[in-house]
Parts: sequence; C-alpha cells; structure tokens
Amino acid sequence: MSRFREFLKETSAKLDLPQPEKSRILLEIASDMEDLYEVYREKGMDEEAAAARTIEKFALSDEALADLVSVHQSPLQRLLGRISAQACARWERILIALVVCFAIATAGRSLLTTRLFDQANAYVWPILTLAVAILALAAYHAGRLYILRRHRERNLRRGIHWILGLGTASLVVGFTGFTVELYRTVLRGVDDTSRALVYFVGWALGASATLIVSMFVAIVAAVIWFVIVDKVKRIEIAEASWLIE
Amino acid sequence: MSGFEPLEAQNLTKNFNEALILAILSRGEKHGYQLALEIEERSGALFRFNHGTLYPILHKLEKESMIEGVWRREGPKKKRKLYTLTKKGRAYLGWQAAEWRRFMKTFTSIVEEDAV
Repeated sequence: MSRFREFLKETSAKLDLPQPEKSRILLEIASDMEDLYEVYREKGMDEEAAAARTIEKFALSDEALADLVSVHQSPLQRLLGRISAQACARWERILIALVVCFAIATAGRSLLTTRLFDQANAYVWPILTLAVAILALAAYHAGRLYILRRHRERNLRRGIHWILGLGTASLVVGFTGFTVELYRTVLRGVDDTSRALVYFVGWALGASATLIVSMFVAIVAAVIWFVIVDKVKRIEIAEASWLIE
Repeated sequence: MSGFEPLEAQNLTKNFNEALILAILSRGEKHGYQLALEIEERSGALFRFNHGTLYPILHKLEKESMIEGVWRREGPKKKRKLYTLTKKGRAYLGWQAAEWRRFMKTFTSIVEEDAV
C-alpha cells in the first residue's frame, strides 16, 4: 500500500472522525485502491499511469468527506466521543477516581440512611426510577462486554449513550423539582405569611435532599458511561489494529 | 406505504446512485471498487462512478441496513470488505425500480409531448 501512502495520509488528515472509524474507512479505501490498481495494470497500463488513474478515481471531494463524517457520527456523538477521549491518561483516570471518592464521601453516608429519602420531595421517585434504569443498562452492557464478550457486534456503542442521557435526565428532574417546589412554597407563604419561614425551611430541606440524590445518580451514571465507553474504545482499537496488521 | 423516502426532483441523484448500487449487489456480493467498475461496464461507460463518492453512499446504506459489509481475509495479508444486499435492501430496490418506472414514464410523456 506504500504507493498510495501519501494519498491516504492526506485523506486521513481531512477525515474528521475518531478511531477506529477512520482506520476502517482508510483501510477499505486502501484495499480497494490496490485492487483497482491491479485491474488497470492487467489492462496494460504502466505502474505510474495505473497509480495516477487510481488516485484520480478515488479522490474524495470535500462534500464526500463531509457526507462520510455525517454518516458515521451525529454532532452529539462527535462531542461525546471527544469528551470520553479526553480522559485517557493515567492522571486523568486518577482525577475521575478522586471525583467519585469525593461524591461517595460527601453524599454516600447520607444516601445509606432512609432519612434523606424521607426528607426529599416527591421528585425523588422518578430520580430513583432513572437510577434503577441506569443500573439495569449498566449491567446489560457490562455483561455483554465483560462476561459474554460479544466483541464482534456491528455496533458496540449502541445504547451506551443512554446511560449518560438518563444521568442527565436525573439532574433535570432534580432541578425541576427544586424550582417547581420553590414556586409552590412561595405561593403558600403568600397565602399564609405567618408560616412562610416554616414552609421555606421545609422546601429547602426537601429540595436539597432531592438534589443530592439527583447529582449522585448523575455522577454514578457518568462514571459508568465513561468506564463502558473506554472498554468499547479499547475493543474497537484492537479490532482496527487487527484489520491494519 | 413503503416507508421509503419518495422519489422527488430534489433527491434524484441520491436515489439514482442508491438504485444502481443495490441493483449491482442484487447479483451477488461485491467489493466497493467492483461496484463502480461494474456500473461503468454495464452502462457502456454512460454512468461513470467516482470511487470517492461511492463510500458515503455505501456506508449510509450499510447504516440503514440496506446492505451489509463484512471484512474477510483474502490471503495471508489481504483483508477486504465485501458488501451484500439485505432483505430490507432488496425490498428497497423493488420500490426504487417501481418509482423510477413511474418517474421515467411521467418525464418522457412531458418531454415528448413538448418536443413534437
């Protein structure tokens, strides 16, 4: 493939996709170029002419490159891919572990008691439902990747981003509960000003307890998502190196 | 309703390319470069397919499960991606053929009427 190396390097530089998608596409182009080159040679072209004709035939316009990128990744996936790609160094992993330890240390003890859930407002129930869904999804993907080792599936990432989506949803529910309950508390305080402070303290207790739960669920979801995406990335890179070897 | 995007003046090129690729694949599995060569050969060089424009179409069809791409080892060092038509792709091809017949009939009737 050395005769097309320069062409492939240029195409690689213009193809704005993460690994291993980029390697797979380049490998497909490279192998097809070699075959077309052989076809031209069999037709009687000399090496130089056959290579030039092949390169001319495989020229990817800017529009074609943009189409390839949009086929393989939505803007959201590109963003998520970049986020997960940020944390590959050892110190970045340590930083994530520290964040988790901090979250467990600050909220973990409270979460282990029923008191926090008694104090939380009604919005804690949808958050707990989301937490159960996150754990179920995490168990499914962990079983698929670590136990069953179904590494040859066509799309290993399918459904993984739902974990992050559900974590975000728990935050949204937590903050919605915070503002809706605040509004209701203010209305009650206006109707009965003598008990306004009591209502306000009751709201602050319920809203903060609910937010602790929602933020904890979101942090756990983010960590699970990162670990699973990292595993998928390793599998994909291993597959890409098998293809290119 | 077929569930497929209807053939319209705005998406003619897209549908045209997809129909040609699916038609060639309906005869058996092919590599990407073979598709472009066969389209050119079978059309008597009337339809010249740039290989560079082929991949976005192939990958889109693969993503939509119209075709399936599988990597195969051919020889000790060679690995090639082969494409085959799926059941969904065959149904889409049938729909495309009917749409193109309808389109050409309408087009010809308008053009011939005005050319006389």
